[in-house]
Amino acid sequence: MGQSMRDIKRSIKAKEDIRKTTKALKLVSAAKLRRAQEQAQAARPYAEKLRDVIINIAQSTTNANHPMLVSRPIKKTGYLIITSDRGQAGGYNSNLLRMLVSALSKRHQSKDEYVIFVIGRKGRDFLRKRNYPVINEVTGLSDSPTFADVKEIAEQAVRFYAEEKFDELYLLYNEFVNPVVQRPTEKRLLPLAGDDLAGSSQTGKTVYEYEPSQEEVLSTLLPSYAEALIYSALLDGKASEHAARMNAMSNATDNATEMIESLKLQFNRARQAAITQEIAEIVGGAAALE
Amino acid sequence: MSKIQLDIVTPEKVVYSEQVEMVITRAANGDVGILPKHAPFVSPLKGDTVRIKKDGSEEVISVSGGFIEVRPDKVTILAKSAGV
Repeated sequence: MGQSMRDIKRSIKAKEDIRKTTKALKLVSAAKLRRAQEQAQAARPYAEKLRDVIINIAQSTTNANHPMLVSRPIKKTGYLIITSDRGQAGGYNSNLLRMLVSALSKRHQSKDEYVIFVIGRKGRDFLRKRNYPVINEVTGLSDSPTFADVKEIAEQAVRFYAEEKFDELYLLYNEFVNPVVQRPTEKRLLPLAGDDLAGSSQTGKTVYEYEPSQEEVLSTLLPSYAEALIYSALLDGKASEHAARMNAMSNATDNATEMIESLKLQFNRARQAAITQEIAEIVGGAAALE
Repeated sequence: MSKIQLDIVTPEKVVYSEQVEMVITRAANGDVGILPKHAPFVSPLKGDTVRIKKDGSEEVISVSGGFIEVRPDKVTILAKSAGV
């Protein structure tokens, strides 16, 4: 036994402390995940309702060529990436950032061809350090973010598109599939994709009266819809973050348990060896006296 | 008196969902009062309050940046934020 019994004992104690921490973090994340899921659920009616009305307008109007619905030649691209503020969430941030970096290097030749909006400290630090063109950021969001928290950055992203500062907007976030699976996703948010609005509205066709006009109603609804999509992506991202952290912490707890087991075995072996040696010494001593 | 379903929805949650008698607010072209069986109608909101008549009493809800969608049996107000 290379290690003395005291060393092993100390090591076991250290691992038990780690396990306590990771276990607590796991439970906290589980609770937060539940809340985040509820919030994502509660946010759904708004976007659905907006989508419904927009579809209704888009289908009944003959000239649906609002700039937000029509693709134009792409000179510059905007990206909005949603990361977390804190780590210890497994591959949550690194997978997403890797996806962004590979998309950027595949699509663009120089850094003048795109701009990045970033939510979350991890993403900001990563992109800042590598001198990516970050034009706005939001950090320090609570675990249950309100719409007001991201209103500014969402409005800015949508406005920049409207002002033709860039010609398309991609949204990158971790899609929440279930508590075990979170998938890094890239979605083209603007111009609003045809297939996203192609489905017929749930409530069937209603002939509305528009005030002041169809076009103006559409031009106030579309930005709201894009913002709502950003917000719901954020909530999805939050749910994914907690789920990812819960899994990471669960694995850490399991690993700590495994290590403690094997250390305990080592400790008992060392103890047994010490006892055996003592007995052998006593027997040897007694034999020498005879 | 017949009633109409009113939902006030923000990005975060459904703030208000009740059967009411009348909804009064300011649309793009002026004030509107909506009673049950109103014709389908969509408009951005100009003002920042919604007055609700229900069971003889009146309630006021503040909203910001919203629009109103009316159907004969249902009124939906979508606002960026809303509070009683």
